[in-house]
Amino acid sequence: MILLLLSLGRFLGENKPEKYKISIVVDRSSSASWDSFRRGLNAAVKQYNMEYNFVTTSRFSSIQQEYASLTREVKNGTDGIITELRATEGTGEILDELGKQVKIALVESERENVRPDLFIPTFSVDEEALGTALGTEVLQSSLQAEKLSIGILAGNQSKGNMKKRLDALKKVLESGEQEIAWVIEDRGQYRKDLDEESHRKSVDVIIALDNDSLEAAAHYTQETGRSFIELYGVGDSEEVIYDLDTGVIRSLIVIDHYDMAYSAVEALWKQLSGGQKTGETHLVDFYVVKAGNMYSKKMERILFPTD
Amino acid sequence: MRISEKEEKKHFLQDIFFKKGAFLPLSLRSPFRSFHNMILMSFMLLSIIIILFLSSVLYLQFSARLKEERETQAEQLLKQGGNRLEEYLISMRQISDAMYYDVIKGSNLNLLKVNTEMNLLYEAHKESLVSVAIFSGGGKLLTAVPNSTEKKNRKVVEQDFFTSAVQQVENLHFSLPHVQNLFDDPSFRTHWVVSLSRVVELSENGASSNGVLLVDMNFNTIERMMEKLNGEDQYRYFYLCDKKGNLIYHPRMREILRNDFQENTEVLSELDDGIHHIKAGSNSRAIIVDTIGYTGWKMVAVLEEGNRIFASGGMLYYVFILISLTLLISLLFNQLVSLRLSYPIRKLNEDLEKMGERRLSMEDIAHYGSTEIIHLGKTLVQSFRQIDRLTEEKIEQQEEKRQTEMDALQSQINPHFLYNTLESVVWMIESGKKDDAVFMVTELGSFFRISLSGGKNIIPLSQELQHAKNYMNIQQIRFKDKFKVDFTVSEEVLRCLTVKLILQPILENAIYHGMAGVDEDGEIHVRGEMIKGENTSMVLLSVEDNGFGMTEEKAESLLDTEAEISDFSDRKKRGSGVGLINVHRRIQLRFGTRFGLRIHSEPDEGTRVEVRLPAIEYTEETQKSLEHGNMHSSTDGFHGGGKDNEGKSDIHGGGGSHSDDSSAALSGKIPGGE
Repeated sequence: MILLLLSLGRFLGENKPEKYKISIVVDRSSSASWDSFRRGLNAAVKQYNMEYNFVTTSRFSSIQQEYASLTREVKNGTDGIITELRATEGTGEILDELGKQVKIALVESERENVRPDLFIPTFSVDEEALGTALGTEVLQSSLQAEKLSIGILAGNQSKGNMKKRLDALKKVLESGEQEIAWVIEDRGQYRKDLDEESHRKSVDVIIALDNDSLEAAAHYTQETGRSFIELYGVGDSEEVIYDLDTGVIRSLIVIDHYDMAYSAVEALWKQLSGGQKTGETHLVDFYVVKAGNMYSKKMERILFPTD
Repeated sequence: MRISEKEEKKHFLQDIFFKKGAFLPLSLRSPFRSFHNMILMSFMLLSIIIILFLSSVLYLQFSARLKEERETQAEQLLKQGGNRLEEYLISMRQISDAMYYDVIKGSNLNLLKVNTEMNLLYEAHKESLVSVAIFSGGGKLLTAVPNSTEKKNRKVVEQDFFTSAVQQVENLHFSLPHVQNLFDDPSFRTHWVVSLSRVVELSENGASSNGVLLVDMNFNTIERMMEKLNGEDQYRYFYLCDKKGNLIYHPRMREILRNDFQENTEVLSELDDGIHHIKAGSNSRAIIVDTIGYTGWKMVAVLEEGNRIFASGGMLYYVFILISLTLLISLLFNQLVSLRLSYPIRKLNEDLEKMGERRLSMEDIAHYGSTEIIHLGKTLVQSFRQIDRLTEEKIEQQEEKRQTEMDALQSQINPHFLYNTLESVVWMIESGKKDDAVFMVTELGSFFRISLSGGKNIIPLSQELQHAKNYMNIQQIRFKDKFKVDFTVSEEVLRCLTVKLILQPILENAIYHGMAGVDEDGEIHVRGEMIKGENTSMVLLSVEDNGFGMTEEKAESLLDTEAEISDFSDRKKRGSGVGLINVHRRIQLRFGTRFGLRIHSEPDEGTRVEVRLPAIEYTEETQKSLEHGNMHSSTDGFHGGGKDNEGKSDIHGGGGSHSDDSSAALSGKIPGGE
C-alpha cells in the first residue's frame, strides 16, 4: 500500500510542470517606476525557478482594456498572473471570471469583493500611513510660510488605493491649514495640465502621488525655471532618486517595490505548487528618504539594489 | 497408495497459492497464537530490525562521508574563490601602484598628462573600474576619469575613503561596498564600488603635498564572483566580510537589512582559517573561513548541517520506495518461509480433525514437512490405532466379563443340581431324617442366596467361603460322606474381596474328577492365606484333593478355551456347567492377568488348584469400586506368588484363629453363613 502511494505520489509529482510561467500585466509597463519591481521579480523567479513574461503595455484607458490583456495571457497558457488593476470599480466580475482559470496576485490595487472560493492575495502599502507621512514631510517644509499653496498630482484616482492615499494626504494638509490649490488626476497629459493649473494658480509645493507624476513635476520645474517650487512625492525610479540627490526633490516616499514583487511571485508559487490558499492583503514597507539619509547603509540597498 | 514426492510438492504448492485462504491463513480469533503468525511475526520483526540496523549504519556512514565530502568541497571552492578575489584585489592594487609610481610620483604634476595616463589605465581595465580620481589634501578634485563632474555639496574630506587614507598614509585602504556618489551622471546611472584609496605625494613646481588617489573598483565584479561561488546549493552559501565583521557581500543581504535573517559575523574574529563546527540554537552548522591576504577580508562558507541526503524530493522518494520494496520483498519471503514451515503442522492439524470423522491411514497423513513433523504424524496415527485397539479390547473384555458372569449365574440355577439336591431332601423326609432335610434345605437356601448376592459380582471372601461350604455340605450328604473337606482360611483373607462363585466350580471339579474312583478316603482341603509382597499383598486360595490326579499337559489344558467348549455339555449334566476357565477368566477380567487359577497335578498324587486374588480389604467403597470395574490400587505392584507356589506344597495361612475356623469346617457345620 505504501509502495503504491509513493509511486502514485512520485508519478503525480513528476507530472507537475518543471517551471511555472507567470505573466505580469501592469499599467505602462515601460515606465521606470517598475524598475525596482522588475528587480524583485528577477530575484524571485530565480529563487523559485519560474519564468515570467512582463507584458508590454501602454496606458490602459479602462479596466476592460486591461481585462482583454489579461484574458490574452490566460489563453496563452500562463500559470499565474500578477497584475496592477487599472481601477477598482468593475474588478469583482473580472476577477471572478479570471480566477476560475488561473492563479492571480494583485499589486498596488484595491479590488471589489470576489467569490468566497477565490483566493487572490493583494500586495500593497498602507495608503493612509503613506499619505500621512507625505503630508507630514510637506508640513516640515523649509519655506517657513504660514500657509503654503500646494498642488497635488493625484495619479490614477480610479484606483481605490490612490484615493485613500490622496485622502490621507489631504487630511494632514488640511489639519495643518495648508491650501490645496489644485488636484490634477492622471489623464496622460501631466505637462499640459500642470501648465494650465500653474497659470491659473501658482503653487509653492507640488506633491506627486506616483512616480510618473513626480518625474513629470520635476521636468516641469526644471524646464520652466520654477526650481523654487518644492517637490515631494512617491517614487523610486533612477531619475527621481537622482533628482532627490541633486536637490530637485525635497523628500521622497519610496515604496519597497522589490519586496512587493518578490512576495507576489512567492505567493503565486505557493499556490501553484502546494495549493496554499491565501486571499489576504500583505503590506510592504515604505521609507521616507531625503538627501541626508539616502546614502545610509540601509537606504543604499533599498534605493540602489545590486541585483 | 502413497503418492510420489514430486506430486506431494505439487499438492503443497497448489494448497499454498490456490487454496482459498491458504496464502494468508491468519487466525483472526487469536492472531498471535497461530503458529504461522508467530513465525511470520518473528521473521518480520527480525527482518525489520536487520533492515533498520543496516539502514541506520549505512545512513550514518553515508551521512558522515557525505558531510566530510561536502566540507572538503566547500573548503576547496572557498580557497579557489579566495584566490580569485585576491588576484582581483592584487590587480586593482597594481593599477593603483601603477598610477602612483609610474604616473604621479616623482614627476611634476601635469594634470593633462596624468589624465591621459589615467585614461589609458582606465580603458585597459574599464570592466573592473568605475573611476579613478586624484584629490588634493583638502579634498579638491584634481582630476578624474572617466567622469570628472562632481556632484554638488559633496564633502570629500568627510568621506570614508578619504579619512581612512589620511589616517594611515602608508597603507592602501579598501572600503566596504557603497554607491559612488562623487560624480554626476545625468544618465542617472549609479555604481556600486569598492574604493581603493591611498595617500600620494604630489609634486607641483617643486612643492610637494599629499593627496589621495582613489580607484573605485566595480563591485559588480566581486558580486559576480561570489554569485558564481554560491551556485544552486540551498544548504550552503558563501559570504564576504572585512576583518571587523562588516558584510561586504552576502547572498541574503536584503533580508539581513530587513532583520529577517541574522548572520553572526562577530564569532569570526575568534576563528582561524579552516573548518569549524558551531551550534546555533537547535541548529548546527559548519563554518569554513579563509582570510584574503593583505585586505584582511574573510571569505566564509556556511554549511547547514543535518541530513542533506534527502535534500531533493526525488531522492527521498527513491529511498522510501526502496525501503518499501525491501519490506515488501521481505514480507513475501517471510510469508513463504513461514508458510513452508507451518503448513505441514496445519495440514497435520486438519488431518487430525478429520480423524474424529473417520480413521485415516498412514498414507492419508501429510508426508511433507520436516522429519519431526512426519514422525509426529505417524506417531499420532499409531496412537489413534492403539487407542482404537485398546478400546475394542476393553469392549471385548467387558462383553466377556458380562457373558461369563451371566454364565456363572446361570449355572447356579442349573436344574440338575437343584433336582438332585431336592431329591435328596425328599428322600430324607421320606426316611424320617427331618433334621438332615432341614439342614440340606438351609444349606441350599444359603447357597442360592450367596449365588445371587443381590446381583453383586464382588463379595467378601467370607461369603465365598460360606458358599463353598454350603455346596460341600450338600455334596457330602449326597455323596454319603465319601470324602472329607476341610477349610483353613486365615481371618485376614476372609476380610478380602473376591469375584463370587470361584471356589464352588473348583470344588465341583475336585469332587467329580478328583474323588471319582476314591472309596471313602477322599480328602479335599481348602486353604486360604495372605502372601505379602514388596508393596502389596495377594490372597492365595487353594483346593487340594488326593484323587487320581492328571498329567501336566492335561492340567494345563484345563484352562484352555477350546477345551472348555467341548466339555461344556458334560458339565451341564453333572450339575454346574461352569468350568475352571470361566472362573479363571472372570478373575483375570476383573483383576488382571497376574491373577487367576493355576493347576498343579501329578497322576496318582492328586490335584491342587490355586486361586490368586489381589488382597483388597472389604469396604463398601472398595466393593462398589470393583463392581464398576475399577481396579483396586493394591492389585498393582504385586510380584509374589509365582514360582514360590509350584508343586503341591501346602500353604497354611493365618494364626490360631484360622485353625478354629478350619476345625469348625471339618464338622460339616459352618458357623455363620452370609
